Amino acid sequence: MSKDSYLSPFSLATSDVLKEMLDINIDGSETASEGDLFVSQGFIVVVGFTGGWKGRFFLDMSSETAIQMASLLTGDDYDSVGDEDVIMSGAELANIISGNAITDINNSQPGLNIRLTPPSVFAGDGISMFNVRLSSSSALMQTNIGTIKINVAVEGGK
Amino acid sequence: MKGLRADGTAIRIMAVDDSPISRKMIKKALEPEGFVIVGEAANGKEAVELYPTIQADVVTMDVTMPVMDGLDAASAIKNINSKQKIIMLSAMGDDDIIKDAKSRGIDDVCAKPFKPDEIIGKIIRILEN
Amino acid sequence: MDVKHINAFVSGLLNVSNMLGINDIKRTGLAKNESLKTDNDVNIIIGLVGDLRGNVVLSLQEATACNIASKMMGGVPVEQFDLMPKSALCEMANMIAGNSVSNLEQAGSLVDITPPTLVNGRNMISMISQVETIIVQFAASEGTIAINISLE
Repeated sequence: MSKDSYLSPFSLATSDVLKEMLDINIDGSETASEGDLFVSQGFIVVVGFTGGWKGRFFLDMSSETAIQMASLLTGDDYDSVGDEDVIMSGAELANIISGNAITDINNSQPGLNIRLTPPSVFAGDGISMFNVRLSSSSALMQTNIGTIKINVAVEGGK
Repeated sequence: MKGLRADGTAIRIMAVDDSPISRKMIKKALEPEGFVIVGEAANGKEAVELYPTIQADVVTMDVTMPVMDGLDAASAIKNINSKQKIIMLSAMGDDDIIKDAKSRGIDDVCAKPFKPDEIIGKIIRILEN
Repeated sequence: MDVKHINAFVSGLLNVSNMLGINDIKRTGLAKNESLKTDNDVNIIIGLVGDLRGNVVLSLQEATACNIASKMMGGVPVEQFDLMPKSALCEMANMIAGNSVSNLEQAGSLVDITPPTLVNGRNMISMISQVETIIVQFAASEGTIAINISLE
């Protein structure tokens, strides 16, 4: 399978979930192959998965975008990316996006039986993520609240 | 006000989800229509313990949660009261999970993200049955 | 949390450290937290799914990570925490996870693990897990290292 075929269910789930939950439209999207290093824009959620596919999903954005996203979700205003609600909103969005993507993958390829790990969230300047022997692909999505980036790596994915 | 019955009484909901944001979203969808959230639980075990102390018309149940998942919690609640209406509300909902949910007597399934109208429609439909 | 699950990871870390030549490593402390956050620059997350679900995180400072990488590469000095020591640390985490999973299997729990993801950054705000976490601390001449176990 090509790397894009791992990425596309997640891209689709991301645009659906952003539209449905936050009424955010993707104005433009481009995909990119990445090496084993991924540099965060400032706020990143990690969801792992195992089963027929083993890998992980990142949902990445700037701190400002994360704050706006949480406000859209809950209807409250936040000053800091460290606010519990901002962190938990990011975690829940990534959880729903990866849950939707994996549901589609499991249904279209019976027997894969992929399951998700609980999400982890990191925020700050200069955060980078690294996976050994695991190349990944990204989709960069332009929205009116900033660039939202997703990245998917699957073991054995070429 | 779809959350009110003909006699004016509110439909009572128990929301079970480990994400505080998801519980907030459920409230945001239901409370404006007059539904009352009578109980909240952050995992299956909390839900099973809370359940006998409140009277809920419908339980919304997440699946993947710490300590006890929503499928086991639904079985335990159906054991206490086989007539209890339960809606599974989950981001993960592949065919295997849905089959498992149905076999435990879960009344309906709603995928996350949900539209307020969708969950409201499902709640009203299972109460009519 | 079951003590045999904690022990599986503790022996996994000790076994692998000894294999890699980190011989003087000792367990120095045990703590419990309501959730998992980190104050360290280097965190390697491994997710667990199966009979146990959660995250296990190896957490250490960059200087310690460089010392361990140097040890793994036969003493070559490692000054910068660049791709080479990052790879070395991920390999170490993979080995620890593999070793721990076989220990868990012997204790009767079947667990599948995700590939390790290394998160590197200073002064990070973090929420790695929302559930009760056991933190086991270790010290060796290379520095201190903690293994955080968050099981649902």
